[in-house]
Amino acid sequence: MRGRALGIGTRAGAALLTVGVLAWLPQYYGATDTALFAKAIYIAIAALGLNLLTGYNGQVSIGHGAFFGFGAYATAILMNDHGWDFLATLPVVAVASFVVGAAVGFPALRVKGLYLALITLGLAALFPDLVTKYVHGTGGTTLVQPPLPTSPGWAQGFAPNDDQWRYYLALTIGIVMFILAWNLVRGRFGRALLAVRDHDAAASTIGIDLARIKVGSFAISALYAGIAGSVGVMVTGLANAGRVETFQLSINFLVAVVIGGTATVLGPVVGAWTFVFLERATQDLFPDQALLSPAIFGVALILLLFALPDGIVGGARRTGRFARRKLQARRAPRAPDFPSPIREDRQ
Amino acid sequence: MALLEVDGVGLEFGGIRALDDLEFTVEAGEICALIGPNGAGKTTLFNCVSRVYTPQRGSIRFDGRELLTLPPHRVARAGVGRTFQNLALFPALTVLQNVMVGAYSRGRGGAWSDALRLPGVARRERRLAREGSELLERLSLDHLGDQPASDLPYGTLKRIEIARALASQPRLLLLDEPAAGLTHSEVEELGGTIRQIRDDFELTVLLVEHHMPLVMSISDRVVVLDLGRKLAEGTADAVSQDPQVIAAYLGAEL
Repeated sequence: MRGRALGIGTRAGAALLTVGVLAWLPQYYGATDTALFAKAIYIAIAALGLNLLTGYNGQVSIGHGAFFGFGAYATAILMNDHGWDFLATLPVVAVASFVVGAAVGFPALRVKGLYLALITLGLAALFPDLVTKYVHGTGGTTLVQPPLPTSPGWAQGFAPNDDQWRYYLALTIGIVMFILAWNLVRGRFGRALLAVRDHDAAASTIGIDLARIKVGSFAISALYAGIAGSVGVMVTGLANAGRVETFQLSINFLVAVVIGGTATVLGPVVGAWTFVFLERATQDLFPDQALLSPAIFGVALILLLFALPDGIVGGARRTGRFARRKLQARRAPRAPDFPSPIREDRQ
Repeated sequence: MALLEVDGVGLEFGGIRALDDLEFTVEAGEICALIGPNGAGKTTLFNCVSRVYTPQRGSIRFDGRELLTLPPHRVARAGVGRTFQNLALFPALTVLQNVMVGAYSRGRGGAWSDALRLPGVARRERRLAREGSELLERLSLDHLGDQPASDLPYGTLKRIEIARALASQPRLLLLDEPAAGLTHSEVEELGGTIRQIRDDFELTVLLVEHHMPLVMSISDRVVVLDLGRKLAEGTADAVSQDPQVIAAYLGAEL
């Protein structure tokens, strides 16, 4: 939310180029890599939402894996048991996740910081139990494996394989969710999010309804996590909510937000891709040593945050501002050789 | 009729009586100063008016309307703006954005219209930015619009806070120690600014201030508080001659 670093033209050009590269990826890479890219996309969607809550509004959640699971199961069950089309499940998931998020957000009004984090952690712990109780999937397990969308006839030209088609679906949904988040943070609601985070008493004094903004950001972030869960089902082919997976996903979203750069729109997206690729790159380094890969992955994350404490996007912005100031200093006329002893402060 | 009527307001924290049957009024268009020794209840009263605290007794009416039944975020829309004793700006926002968010209570539209960038939204944003820039210009802050509202001189930050409060177009402006931490020349300028904005925006100003020369030079009326009660009231000159006031400040026996 600082001054514009780049002109409109440069930004539009960069956006087009990025979308172009993202669209080209499954044309060049095979099914395995394409699935990895699609994973980066759904992690990015969840991280976009979590960033609205944690980055912009200052409410830390380590339970968004539960909302992700909720969306995943809603889509999987609607498709599997009721024969719904994948895209038709999205509006239902969006509304339902929003409502569930608001329901969790209300009690969260009473607590802040570490205590809120603990409560959301409880949510991630509770969710797998609910699934075990109420979901009856394949062979009595909690797994639900719906039929996946296949590439339609008209798309054969650019997506002959189903995994390509699913990637393009995920990408389209991701772009829509990104644009919505971007619009959200640069307007009235986005300013209110930051105001509540920075100084809630002052925010209340200028007319911001704290409860509305806090519950609203909870609900919107849950909507994002739910949609990410739907996309996750479409990419991986199954809905699952193990205790470990739910907890791990919650942490993954948070890590994506932090390494990308909190309270920047682009941050969670960059963070999600970085996260997924770092994880992949460190996975097969030592095939015989199962424990070494996660350790190296962890060290890589620590080094990344050590070098860029405000995340990749935050660091890039800082560098940009620094470079601009240097450039301006070079262009500006040289200071007089004998500076005036009296400084005139304009106050 | 008085614009602000504080009527029999009492507030206790535990056993401590912060406000004790406090009663005074502020007339429309005047600059009224609230003075008194530390702990007299000045900021506590501000917090009651802006609904941070809810007093146990009494009533606070603004333009005939009871404020104590409003939720805190409705006070701005009712027409009361305030600044804080310690700075309360939003450092993540630029100076201009701080002023734009100050107009929140006058605006409409929620997350949905913002996310979809409905047709009215862009127009409203442009209008807010224009109005915000004009306000910054009035307070000689226009060169700072794009800077983050942190790491600026203290006096500048205090003016940004005044600009943010003005953005809601209040009829009553509460200033909590606007001169604290300012240099001598800044205080002089502040006095001029307060008068100027009172005239330009047809405001009523209630200020808490310890800086006596400032209080003397700009106040139409002074209300003196001590131990949560009104001790004296009148013009600045009259109040400063009052033996009770002198005693409260100096702690002398009468």
